[in-house]
Amino acid sequence: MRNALLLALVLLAPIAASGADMDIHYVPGRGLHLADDKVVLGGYLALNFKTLDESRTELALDDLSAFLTIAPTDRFRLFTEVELEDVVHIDGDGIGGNGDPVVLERLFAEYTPFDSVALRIGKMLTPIGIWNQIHAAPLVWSVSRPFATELFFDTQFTGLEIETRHNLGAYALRINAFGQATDPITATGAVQQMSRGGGARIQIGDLGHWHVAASYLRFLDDRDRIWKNTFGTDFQFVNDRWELMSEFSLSDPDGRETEWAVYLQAVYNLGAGFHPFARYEHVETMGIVRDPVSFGVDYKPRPNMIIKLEGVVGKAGLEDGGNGFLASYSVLF
Amino acid sequence: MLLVGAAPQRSFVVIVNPSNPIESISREELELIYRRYRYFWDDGRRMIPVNLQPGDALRQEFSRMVLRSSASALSTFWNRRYFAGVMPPAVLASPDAVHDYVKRIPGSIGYVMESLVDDSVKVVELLDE
Repeated sequence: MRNALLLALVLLAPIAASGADMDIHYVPGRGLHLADDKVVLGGYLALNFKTLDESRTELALDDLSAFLTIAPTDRFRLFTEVELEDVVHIDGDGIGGNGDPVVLERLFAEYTPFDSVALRIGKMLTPIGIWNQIHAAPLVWSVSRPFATELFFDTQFTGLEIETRHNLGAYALRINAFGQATDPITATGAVQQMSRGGGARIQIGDLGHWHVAASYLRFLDDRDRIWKNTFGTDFQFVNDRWELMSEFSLSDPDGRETEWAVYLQAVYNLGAGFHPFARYEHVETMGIVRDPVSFGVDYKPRPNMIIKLEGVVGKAGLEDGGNGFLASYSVLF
Repeated sequence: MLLVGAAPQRSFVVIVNPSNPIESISREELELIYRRYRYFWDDGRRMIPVNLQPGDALRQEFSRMVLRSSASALSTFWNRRYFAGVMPPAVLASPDAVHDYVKRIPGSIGYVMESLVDDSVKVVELLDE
C-alpha cells in the first residue's frame, strides 16, 4: 500500500510541475477531476440488508471503495482501487465490523502504444466472463452474485495482461491474454487462490450492444496445490428495454471431479427508473446440485444510484447464506 | 466546407479541428470514438470527443443515430466503463461551447447544428452504413 502511494506521488509530481490546469471539479458518478482530467478520484459505496435462512439477519456498510486514475500522458495511466469491506454491520449480536477491512483490489499500470493494443502490469480483475469485470454494487442489477462468476477462478490476478482490439466491419474482436508467475501483491480473498497461471478470453460482438465470448484459464490453486482448468463462455445483449446476460463456467481440476455453473439473467427497463429482473442459475459443485433463482426490482433515482430489492430461492446448502430477501442501496461517485 | 447533404434527417453535423486531415468518418468509427474504444487519430494525436448536455435534443439525436442507444442504456454502459478507469467524453455547456472547443483544440471532435458551422471548424461527412 505504501509503495502504491509513493508511485502515485511520483506520477502526480510531473503533472503538477507541468502547469496543468489545476481546476478541480466533481461530476456525480464520474469522480473528482483534477489537473485537466489527468487525475480522477472516484469510488462507490454499498449499504446492504439481508435476511436469509442460513445466516444472520444483517444491515451492513459492505463496500466503501475508492479508485484513482492518473494519466500523465496520452498513452500511459496508473489505476488503483482500494476497498473497505464490511466496514460496519448490525446484526443479532449488535454492532460489529471487519477489524482489518482495507483491501487493495486493483493496482496496475497500462500502456497503450496503439489503438488496438493495451499492455497492463499489476493486480487486476481476472478477465473471465462479464460479471467479474463489473462486479461493483452500483453496476450490477442484483445484490447476490451468480456462482458461475466467482466459484471456479480467482477473481483477481497479479501479473501481465495484453488486450488487443480489432474492428471487423460492424463487429469488434477483443482478445485478452494474461498470466501470473509470482505470488499476488495481496491475497484476493476469493474462493480460488491462484498462485501461478495463465489464460485468455476472446470476445466478438457489436461493442455496447451484444457480444459472445469464450475463456480459458489454467492455474495452480494456492490452497489445494493442484492445477485446475477453468473454461467459460459469456453472452450479453443490450437494447433500450432489455439487458440479457449469461455466463457458463466449468472447473476441471487435475485428478478431481468436474464442477460447473451457469446463469441466465434478464433485466427489463420499465421506465421511470424501474428495472425488474430475474435470474436462473444451475450449480453443480462439491456433490451439490442446485437451481437458485433470484428475482426482484431495482430503482434508479439517478444514473449513479441504485436501490435493489431481491428474493432468492433454491440456495440451500450452497454456503451462500441460503434463501430469503436482500436489499441494497449503492451509489457511484 | 463539406456538407452533410446525404442524410437530411439529421439535425447535426460532425466537426473536427481544422488541422485534422480527415474528410469523412463512418458511423461505426464515430461510435467507437464516443464509446472510447478508439483513442488516437492516424497521425498519433489523441482523439478528444466532446458531448452536449444530457438533456440537449441534439445530443439525444446523436445518441440515437450514432450510438444507437438510449440515455438509460448509455448510463449503464458508462458506469461500467468508469469502473474500469475509462472516462466518457467531456460534456460541454452548449453547441456554441462545442464549436469553440473544437476550433481551438487539435484532435477534438464534436457535433453541432449546421447553422453554427463557419470556417474556423471543419465539417466531416458522416457516412451512413
